[in-house]
Amino acid sequence: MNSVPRLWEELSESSDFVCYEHQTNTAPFFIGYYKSLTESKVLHQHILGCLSNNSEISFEDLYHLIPVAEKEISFDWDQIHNNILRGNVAIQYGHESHHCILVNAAASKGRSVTIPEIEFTVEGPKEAFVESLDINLNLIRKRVPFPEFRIKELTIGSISKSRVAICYIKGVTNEQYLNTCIQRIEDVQFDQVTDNTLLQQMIEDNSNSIFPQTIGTERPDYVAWAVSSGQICVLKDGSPTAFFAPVSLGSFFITYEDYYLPWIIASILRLIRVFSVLFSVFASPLYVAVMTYHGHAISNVFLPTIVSSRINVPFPPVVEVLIMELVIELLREAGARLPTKIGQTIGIVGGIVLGTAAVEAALTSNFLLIIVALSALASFATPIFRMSATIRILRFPFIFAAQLWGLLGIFIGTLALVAHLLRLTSLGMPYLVPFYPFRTSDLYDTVIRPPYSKFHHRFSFFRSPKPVRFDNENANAKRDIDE
Amino acid sequence: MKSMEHPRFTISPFLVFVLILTMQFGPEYIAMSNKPIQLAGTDTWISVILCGISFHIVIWMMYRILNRNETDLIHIHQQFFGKWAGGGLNFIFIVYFLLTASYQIRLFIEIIQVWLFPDLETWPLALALLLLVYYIVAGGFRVIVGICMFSLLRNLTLITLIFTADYFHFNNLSPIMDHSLNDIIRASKEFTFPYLGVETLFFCYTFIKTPKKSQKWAHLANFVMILYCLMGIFISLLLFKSEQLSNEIWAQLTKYKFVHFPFIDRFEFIGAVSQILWVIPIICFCLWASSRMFKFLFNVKQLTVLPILLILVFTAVCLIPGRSLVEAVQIMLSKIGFYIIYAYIPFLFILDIVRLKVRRTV
Amino acid sequence: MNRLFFLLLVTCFLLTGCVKQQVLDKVTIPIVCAYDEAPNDQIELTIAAPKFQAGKPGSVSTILYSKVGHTSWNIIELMNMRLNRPINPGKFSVALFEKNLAAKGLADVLDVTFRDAQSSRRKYMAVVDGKTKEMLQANFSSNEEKGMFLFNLLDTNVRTGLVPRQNLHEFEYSFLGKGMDPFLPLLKLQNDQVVISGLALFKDDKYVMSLNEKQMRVMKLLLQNVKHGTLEAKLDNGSYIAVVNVGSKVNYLVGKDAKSPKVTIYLILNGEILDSMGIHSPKQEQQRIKDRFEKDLTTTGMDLIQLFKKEGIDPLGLGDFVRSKTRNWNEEEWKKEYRTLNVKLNVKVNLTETGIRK
Repeated sequence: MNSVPRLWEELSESSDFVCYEHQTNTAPFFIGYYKSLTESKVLHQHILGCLSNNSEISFEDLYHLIPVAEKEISFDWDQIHNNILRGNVAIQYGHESHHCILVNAAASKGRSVTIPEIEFTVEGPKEAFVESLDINLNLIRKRVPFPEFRIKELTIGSISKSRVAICYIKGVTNEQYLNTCIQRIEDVQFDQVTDNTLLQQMIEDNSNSIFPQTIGTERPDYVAWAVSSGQICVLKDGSPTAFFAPVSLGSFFITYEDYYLPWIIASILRLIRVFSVLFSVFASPLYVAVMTYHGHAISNVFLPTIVSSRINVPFPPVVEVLIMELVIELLREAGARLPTKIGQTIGIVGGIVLGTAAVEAALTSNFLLIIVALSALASFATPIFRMSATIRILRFPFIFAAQLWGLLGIFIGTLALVAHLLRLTSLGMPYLVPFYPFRTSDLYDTVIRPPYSKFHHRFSFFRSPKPVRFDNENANAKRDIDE
Repeated sequence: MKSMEHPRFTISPFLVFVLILTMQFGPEYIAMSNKPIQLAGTDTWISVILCGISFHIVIWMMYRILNRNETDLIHIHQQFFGKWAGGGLNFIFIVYFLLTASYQIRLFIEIIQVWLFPDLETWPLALALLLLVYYIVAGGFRVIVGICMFSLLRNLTLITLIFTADYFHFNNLSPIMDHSLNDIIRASKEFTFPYLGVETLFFCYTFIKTPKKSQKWAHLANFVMILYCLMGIFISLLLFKSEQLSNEIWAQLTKYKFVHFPFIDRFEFIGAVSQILWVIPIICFCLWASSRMFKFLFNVKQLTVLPILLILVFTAVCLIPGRSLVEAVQIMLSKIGFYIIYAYIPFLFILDIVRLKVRRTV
Repeated sequence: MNRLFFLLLVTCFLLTGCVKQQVLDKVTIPIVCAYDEAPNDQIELTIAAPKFQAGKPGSVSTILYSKVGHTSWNIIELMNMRLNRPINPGKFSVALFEKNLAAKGLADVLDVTFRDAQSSRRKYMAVVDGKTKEMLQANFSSNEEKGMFLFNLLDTNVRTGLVPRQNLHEFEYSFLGKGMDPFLPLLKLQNDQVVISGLALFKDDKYVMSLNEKQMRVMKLLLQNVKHGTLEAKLDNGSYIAVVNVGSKVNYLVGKDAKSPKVTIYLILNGEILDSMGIHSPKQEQQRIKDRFEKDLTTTGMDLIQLFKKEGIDPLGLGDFVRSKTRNWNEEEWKKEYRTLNVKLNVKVNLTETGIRK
């Protein structure tokens, strides 16, 4: 019963569906399409033009005459249905025929490629992904003009019917990781997958973890790099971010700009970033611990400064810290919801006016104000947004632990955190590589970024079938003086 | 019989170094220098080396036994002594490991109670630590070794002991050989307790990727352990008179009292709290090993036994009230450990040779 | 049911798991404590509690509290009844002892600081000539907290001056160690100023005698290698000359001399002439100045050693040194030998530079 005429009836219930009957001398052509999905230029010029110019045309001739590359003849009801929903124009010949010509006339309306806003870099290319999958794939393919670069397309979501593209390089990416990734995407049971970030959360190994196990990026150059190192990249139509896996904890503290800067500068920046993460997580808990329990551990010289800044504050340290942390979070949240210019004003009002007033009203010590502001700043030094959110949230359990048992609480919390990280995996790869399991050969490109001559092999934990990037023998030859 | 775990759960031989070192280098080192220095005085370092060498021999014996049978001690017991006697021996080891775990937790809690929070109850901290241990052990052997690896960060607190150099009295090292051999050997007997921990090798053997290659790493771990002990003893000798040490309970933590930074005036808090890095890996391994033995003894899942064992340890910890009983448990454990190392392992070694000879003649 | 149990456990945990808080601004953190003798074998403990002012880390005033009692811990408990913020004894950095109390022995008073896990082993100690309470009452530091002032006074003089270092640990070390005796700096109040006036010498834990400031300098040179400090000598023509020590080395040697050991001390001092009152070309005079200094140091040093031998005290740790060079050293025998011990002092002074002028 699933014949094409029924389809017309069913689809016509939606008011943006157009079913148009074109009478010819032989038999009528039925042309069906969604107004909202098709490009009228293609429809009018190529399809209708073709039909009206040749009034006595047969079905097969018409197929050959339509000057569009993406066209096919289909019998499959489901396929016809799906393709119409993707913006194809279906042409049926006669009332009873089960054949349809499907011509792609999909309208591609969306923004054009712009500069990256979240991961902006001073050096390097300034292209960012947009919502259209085809443009995004074009951006990647341009950077990987390599025959082994493969794109596998899947459809997920019972309502959204999103196109998902899995990109990898055959012979570089480990098959096991690839199969796991494909399997997980195929297993997604969800109706409306609006963005890649949803997909990211759905396919992660441990969805209860606060730590992201895939990296989302809007930079095609970063994706090209990841794919050529043996990672798998996933894009989704309608989403301006791509994500790749497997990843390790260390790669969250890498901005792609590191690769565009000289190695010493890039390495120092990376070290600063790692330090700032530690500071951001531990500074305010340590303040609570020292103030509440270990006051006499502070050096004599330092004591008057700290005590006199806090002497009139009515709250215990933990309440003070929680209030200040919440104020900072509030400022950030308010700033994020507003346009850039108003957001800046909020920042100034909050940062300067509120801060000074709070200290003068003896609601907080200025020492704490410095710590909280610095740790907020430090948390933004992490390039991946999801990770910086994680780091901001992470300090709260530590503050409570510090309130309970001081330094001991912080130590227990740290051990629990490390145990959690040890148990995490990304597509089955341990999260803490190359530090655990420890591989000396993979220590390059982690906390420091060495010169490119050291990049001659891929990370062994990606288990790539082709572990060598390039031949390094000539680079290693040492030359004598004046030779 | 060859029984190896799935490669997904195994560790590379290099990590045996980390594992054995963390198991040997337990929290008992903070009190280790008091007694031997009373016995052997300036010559205590000779005892350290003597005891270390004897442990090298024990490690060599253990590898001979394990390499020949290619399985862990749980199965060796059952092969050698049959199902029931072997099971009984395994059970003794379960008790030993659980007792060690209880002792370690109680010792740590005691340190916290003395050095940081005198009013802290025993059970909340024990509960928190055991929950942490559960989370780690439930992650499997690799996570435990990962925690061992992380615990190497404790070396940072040991490095700070450089700052004590200001107070060194090099006079305290001489004269050399002022004590009789008897004293030195008695002192080195005192060192078996800090050195204990190599027996864990018996239980993780099947989890090593290429176990035969790991022997050198185990020896290296023991060698580094000798260096650690020597460092502890030398700093104790250089800093304190033996009359002072006889008054101290935890000489190692007192050493941290000499460390200070521009920011931090007192380091002993950090030193005392950082003992958690010494304690947690050992407790985790003890519970992992004993729950694994339970698994083979009674054919149950490790994950179901683990909470029961944790509750057992928890009750045991709560039943140890203070210093005197902690000391009593320590003396008992050091005795058991002494006999395991110097009596049971050589016995197994000889038995293994005899079995091999008998089988050959048959 | 399961949830209820869990909730119960968490509540129980939080109720009993919490420990006593010591919020830094809600406790009194005294830096200095002073012990005086009181009748009936009691001690009088005086503490200087700093009073901080909000927003002004520079100005800290001190309030004194003192109380008589048998044990210092009990005294602190009694003091808490007069304070709005309880005392946290963890930060004591200077301990002062009255001379008379020190003469009775310090071991009992000090026991508490060794037992307390929070007390510092780097705590400075000093003997005060006179009542310590009176000393703390004097207005000797203009804007610094009194405890901090005393701490800095002792700290800088030990680090960059010729006051031998002796803190709580070293006091115990030489008190408990065989063949050595402790010493402490001696403080004195002069015209409302605290002065380090010399060194208090102990026999075991009991104060016996004191050295003046000049003897103290020589004592420090004999104790350890020093890189700072100034020495002064009077030349034959009556003019004075000062030499800055840029590095002195001291070496002890034990020689077996028939039966009893013989100790030789070698002291090499490298100095720079910086203050040559009235001598215009010190270069030609160098040999003379050198001889003068060598003689001066030798006589002061030998006098010191004679004094120690006479009193039967050993602050230089000669006994400990001989112990480290002899097998089967016996403390009793050593004590008999010590009074007739043959000690020699060899001083060599090198004058290397004369500042930026000839």
